[in-house]
Amino acid sequence: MTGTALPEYRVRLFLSVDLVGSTAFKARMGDPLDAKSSPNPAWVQEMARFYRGFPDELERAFQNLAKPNDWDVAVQPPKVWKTIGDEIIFCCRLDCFDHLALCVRAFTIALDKYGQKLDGLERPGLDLKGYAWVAAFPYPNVTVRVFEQNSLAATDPDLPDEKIEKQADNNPSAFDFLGKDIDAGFRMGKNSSASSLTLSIELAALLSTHGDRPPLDGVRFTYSGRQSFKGVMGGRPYPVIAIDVERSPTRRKLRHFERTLGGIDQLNHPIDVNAFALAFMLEEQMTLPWLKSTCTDSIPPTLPYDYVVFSETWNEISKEILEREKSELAAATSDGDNGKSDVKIDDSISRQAQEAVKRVSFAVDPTIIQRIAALTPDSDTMKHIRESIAESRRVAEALAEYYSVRQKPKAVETKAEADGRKPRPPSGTSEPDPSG
Amino acid sequence: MLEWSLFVANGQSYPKPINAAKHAINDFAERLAAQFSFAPGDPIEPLVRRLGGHVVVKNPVAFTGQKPESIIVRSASDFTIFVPGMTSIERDRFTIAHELGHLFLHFPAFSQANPGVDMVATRWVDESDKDQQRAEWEANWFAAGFIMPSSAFKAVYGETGGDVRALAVRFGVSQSAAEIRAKTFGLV
Repeated sequence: MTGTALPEYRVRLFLSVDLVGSTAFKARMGDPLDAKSSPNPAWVQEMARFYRGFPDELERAFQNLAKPNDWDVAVQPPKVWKTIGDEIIFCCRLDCFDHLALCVRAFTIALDKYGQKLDGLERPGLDLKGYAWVAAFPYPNVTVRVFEQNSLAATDPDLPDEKIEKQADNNPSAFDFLGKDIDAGFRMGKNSSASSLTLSIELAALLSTHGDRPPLDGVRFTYSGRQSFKGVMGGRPYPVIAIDVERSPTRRKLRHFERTLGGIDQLNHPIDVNAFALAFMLEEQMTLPWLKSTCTDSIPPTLPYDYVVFSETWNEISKEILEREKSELAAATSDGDNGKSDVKIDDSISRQAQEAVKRVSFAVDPTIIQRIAALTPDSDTMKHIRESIAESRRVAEALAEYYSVRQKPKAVETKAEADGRKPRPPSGTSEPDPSG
Repeated sequence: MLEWSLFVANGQSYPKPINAAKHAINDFAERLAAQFSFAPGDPIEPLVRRLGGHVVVKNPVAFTGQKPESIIVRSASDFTIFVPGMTSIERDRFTIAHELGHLFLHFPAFSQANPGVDMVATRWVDESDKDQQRAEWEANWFAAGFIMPSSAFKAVYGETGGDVRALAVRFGVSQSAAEIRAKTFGLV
């Protein structure tokens, strides 16, 4: 615990990109005819390119974007957190609002550029879809180190601290991130479609705050009504806000007409998106993550209330662990005898301990009874089972008693006696005969 | 809740040390673990359930300003151990074993002296209170013996060439706990 520090409040951005149409593409391009011309089916090559190419595209886009005057060069672009099937998820600790805007803008550029590449390669049916969300740490979401074989990482402290969070900022792929916002992000993302970048409501609220200034100016928000997602907001319909990343101008136009005809509200202007997202979050009692405005912004943070509660809890637990460790070390290193090196354990202690041993030996796991009860709604049968268990316990106790009594005179038992001895287990509840 | 706080405030319900020798407490704990068939690395929560106890995960926030309880013993077969949320599995395991130390070492005398009164140990004690500090040490000796029995510990130490990480994994303790135990046996 020495040197452990309270984990700072931080917001992480998660960006997911999925190669859509890849299952159909695999089926088409993985046939034996294709295999004849190349040792690898075409889809293997395409996936390999995607895993390598898209992260590069994103980094390039991030570096090429113009930075604000007070930009801190140490601030990093998003890094790969994990890959799942045809999906790559990036993660990034957000330094400030400018950083968020740059990451999202770079992501939309990368989607566009990589999409164009797919178009140029004439890979029919292959496209990209993306979704993005933000989550606050260390509460309500948590950072967990992924088990690493033979790693020195097992030196994790008793209480998650700032060191762990910093390591996760620098190397997210060695960590997992868990919590309601992560779950919601994944669920909501399943709704995203090609040519759109779906945003969680918190992310939409943050992005739209400054959505009309560079580098976000020119980004188009779309709203396509509400949808229920299992496990998100208790199934109450969740607003689907996205950034339009459609590459084809004709398809873009077509969709605009479709929406107008369908009467779906247009939330094109960032101010409208912002007002709507904030009103929705207020109604649903959601917490807006806090970000400073720029890298050099020194205005004291307005930390969410739940983080304040978390830090109080953390400090209390940290104090407890420090006190415990201090006492454990002192106890282990002291001989602790104070001239009592021959004082033995009192009889009453041993007696009570032996009663516990006996009780534990015959204790029926309470979950077993619960499981039986779940299977057997009939109360008469249940009563019968309980009685049988009690009866078996009495038999078991009596048996144990019988054999413990039998064991004692064993040392003085003659061979003839032993030969002639026949185990005579007691039946039911009757007291065993100590004479054997 | 109010009653517990009153007991804590009066100092009436604290465990009192038994003043037995360190090695006697260690041996007692090791023997007891063997009798419970509690092997190195075994989960400790099921044992607590079989003993009639409960492990409750509880954040100490509401207790700011006073020492929150870590075990309440109502009877030898009815007790509740509180562990704070967020802590590691290894930390919780040692804490639970420590609280079992209070149950087995301190409750017998306590229940005789205070029939019908709940025994309450707190998460930490005043350093100036030598009696309470001694009781804490006794519970720590019990915990170390209970989850890191000497012969098994020395055997694994030999097997692994003193690899602290491997020891920690085998006994389900933190590396620092394994290190301290190795020092106790003069292995390092």
